[in-house]
Amino acid sequence: MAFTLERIETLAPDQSSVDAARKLLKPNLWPRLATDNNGLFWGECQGSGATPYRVVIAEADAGYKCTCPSRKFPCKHSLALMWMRAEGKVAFTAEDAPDWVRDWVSRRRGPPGKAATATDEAKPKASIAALHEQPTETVVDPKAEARAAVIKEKNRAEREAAILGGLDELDIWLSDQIERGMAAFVGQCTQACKVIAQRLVDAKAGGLAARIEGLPAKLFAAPEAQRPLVAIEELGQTYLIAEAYRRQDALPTALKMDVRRTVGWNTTREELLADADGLRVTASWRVVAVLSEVQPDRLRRIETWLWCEDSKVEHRFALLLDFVPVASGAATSGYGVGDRIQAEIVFYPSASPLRALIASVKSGAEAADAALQLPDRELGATLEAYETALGAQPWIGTWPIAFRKGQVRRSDRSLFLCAGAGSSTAVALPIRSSQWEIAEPLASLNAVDGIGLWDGHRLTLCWAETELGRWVNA
Amino acid sequence: MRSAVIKTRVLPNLIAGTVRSPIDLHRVFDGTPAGSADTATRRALSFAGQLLRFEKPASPGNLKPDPVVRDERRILPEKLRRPLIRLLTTSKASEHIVLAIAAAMDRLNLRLHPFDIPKLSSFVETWAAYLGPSAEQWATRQGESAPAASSFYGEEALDDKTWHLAAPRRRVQYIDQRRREDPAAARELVAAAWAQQDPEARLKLLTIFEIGLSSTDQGFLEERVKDRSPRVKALAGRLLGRLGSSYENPALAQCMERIRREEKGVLRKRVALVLELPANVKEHTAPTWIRELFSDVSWQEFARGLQIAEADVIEAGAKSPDLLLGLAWMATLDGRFDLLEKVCQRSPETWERMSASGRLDLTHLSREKRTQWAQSLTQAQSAKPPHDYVAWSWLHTTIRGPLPTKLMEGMLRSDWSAGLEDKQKAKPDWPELLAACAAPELRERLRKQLGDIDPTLTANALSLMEILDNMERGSE
Repeated sequence: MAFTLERIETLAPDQSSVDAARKLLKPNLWPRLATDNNGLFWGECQGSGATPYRVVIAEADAGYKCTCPSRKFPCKHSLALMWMRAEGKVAFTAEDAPDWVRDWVSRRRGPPGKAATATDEAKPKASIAALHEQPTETVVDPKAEARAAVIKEKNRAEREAAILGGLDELDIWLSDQIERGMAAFVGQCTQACKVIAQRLVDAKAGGLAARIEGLPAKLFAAPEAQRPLVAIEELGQTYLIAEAYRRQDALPTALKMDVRRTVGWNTTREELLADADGLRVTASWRVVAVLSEVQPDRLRRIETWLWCEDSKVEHRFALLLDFVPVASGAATSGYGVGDRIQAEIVFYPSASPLRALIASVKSGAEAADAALQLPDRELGATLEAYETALGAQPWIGTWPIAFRKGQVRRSDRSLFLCAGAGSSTAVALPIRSSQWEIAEPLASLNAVDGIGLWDGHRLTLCWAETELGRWVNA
Repeated sequence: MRSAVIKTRVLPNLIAGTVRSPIDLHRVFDGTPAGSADTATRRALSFAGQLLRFEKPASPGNLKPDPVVRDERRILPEKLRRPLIRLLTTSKASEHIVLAIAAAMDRLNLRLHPFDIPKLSSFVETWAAYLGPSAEQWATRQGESAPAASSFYGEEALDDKTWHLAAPRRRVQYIDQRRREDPAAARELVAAAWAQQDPEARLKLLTIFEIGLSSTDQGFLEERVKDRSPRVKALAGRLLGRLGSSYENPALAQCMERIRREEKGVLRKRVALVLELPANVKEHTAPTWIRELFSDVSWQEFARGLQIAEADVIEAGAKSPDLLLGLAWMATLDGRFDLLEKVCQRSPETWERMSASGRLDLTHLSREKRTQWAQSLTQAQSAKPPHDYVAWSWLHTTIRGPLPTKLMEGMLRSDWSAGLEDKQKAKPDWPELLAACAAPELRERLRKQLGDIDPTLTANALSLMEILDNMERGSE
């Protein structure tokens, strides 16, 4: 991924960081600037202290590390180094990566780019690969291993029991809400949800707790008249998840994994990458949306939505999820909308595979202008595919849809995405109100092909190919 | 369980609460449901929730496309879109940068890409008149349920019947053009639509009557002297004064009260005029006071009031800098730039003093006329221009385009950047202002000079010049 000024602006936590970075563009502030000619750049920047800060950046995935004490990520030094690289006015000396750079690369969890996957012996490997390749010289104590396994199993059993206990309490709580009625529930949902969410956290069902904690926000985002119906929908699904969890052994494996993850069990990155049976797709992917949202737990959830350019692939969408502390200031992923990545994607096991990880990057992200080749499917047919996915996994949240020949149309102040003229279906998906202004220019066009995220109530338009060129939600 | 049963026998009860309105579980589950009543009720909730998830949203009946605005301007080149958005949104660009972009787009007949208009909303709202019909339509549609296209026409589409429906700036442009072609017909058009115009539009339309002003306009102007807007009234009075009508301009009388007339010379007596400021007008408020005193008086009636020839007025006031400033205002507002140049030769600091009196609106003049005015005003100082930011800023805001080449050359020859980086709080004001003021042929020279300055002070200036160069190259 070549650094560009646009990308650096996107990565910057705020404007003052950009301003501060600009002041560091003077080469005399950098006693050392070097590269391994393979996507890694590092330098030493003279700060206020006696020792210069050590900064390293990776071009493949916009990774960065600086030794300064700043709580902004990326800090001004990292931004300045990216900036100098982007401008190309300053020469970087070609040399082998020093130990501190190799150490950083070896500890990275990010996708191994070219720099990390090359066969050069001197180059450090990413942590997973390194784990596999390390010779197991340490002496294994079978007793200790057995003890650890017993403890692990005991913990797991305790957690299972705690979750089931929590689900029983959830049942009682649901019955209470049903007795009072959804009209009354809407009025006091914040407090009611908080209480049961805390109980579910205690019962170690964190995923379900987060889902219930986010319910008031969903309700208040809906029109007032619709809120009781949204409450029925959400609470109904909560009960469905709880019941599915109780009967998980009777479910197909993929759906069982879905329900366990929804309740709060994690599939670690290592487990996923080690799963030989996992769904893997190696292809050219385009970044079609990058969304960011602050969660109630003060973590920022960053969604990177990918579209597979290979029309033969069945699962053409993938979602990369990142969680970063709000305090870090980072508000976007390393990828920009429109970027193209050649990568192997591994999907989390699911009845409707969507969430994924990048297993390996064949070539770093590059900005691409080419139009997306969307399947020749109108909005009505796309919604049928959504319903199929909903049938397979009834509690799916946001679902990506790709459509052709759609039309953005207005009804009073609201905008809707409709099936184009001549379509047999009269579908009109309401576009999220936060997009009304930015999507307004689309309302005078005859036809748009595009991609959006549909949550059953509102559509977030992400990408549109139009007669006026590409429109993106950025 | 059928969906109809859920809709009629479950949903209403779930909304109202099963305590008050219990669900008939036997009916819903076609028999005795498995498990307890509570479990069955929760299952009913789950079924109802899932049914709602499969419901498609209701389509409102009145869906319609937004009207297409006819905009003949060329869309900004693709490669300029991102830099422009960056410059105008994230880089804290000064007002001069914004103005230079808007003026260049107007001059080069460019418009924003429709997708960029919402991203540049504050820029578009401020400078809509310079950005073409589609931007004007967007800027005025706020708060309305749907944008209307009927009030917005491309310049080519306006005619004598539709001109009054267009945006104010386009209305003025149309009447300006008609006034040059046929003053009487333009007057008839303005008279017919006068009642529908707001005070600002009335003032601008009346300003156009300076073009081809003749005695046939007298009747129309005498009506305008009774206008409710004081500014319109004063302007009508000044125009009548230029016609030499019998109208007694109250502004002229006020002016005359402050002029002391003397006879000087031993062998040849000549008139000497002095402007006497009231005691409560201090030095720093004098420029504003003088502007107010003279801006409603025309040069002709001033000369007539003093009973001296128009050409002798400057000579008579040569010893009174305050009077020369007043004369500069009269020359400016009368469009007598030849006289303005003479005034400035007598009093080179006129430019700085005029700038101290606040904004000046010369948008009714053509670009060439405004440049001509700036040349006349700055001619005397172009070899060694003052390093007065306020004066430069005022001049650029007034003429809304590149400043006269001679003046800019003089500035670039000087050491304008000296001390720019030494100050504790170095600001990018000067580089940005000069970049906005520089004519295309001087940009390369300025770019070289900016190369020696701290990049944090010049980033926006360099970016602006790059954008302007590309805009102009694309329009060739």
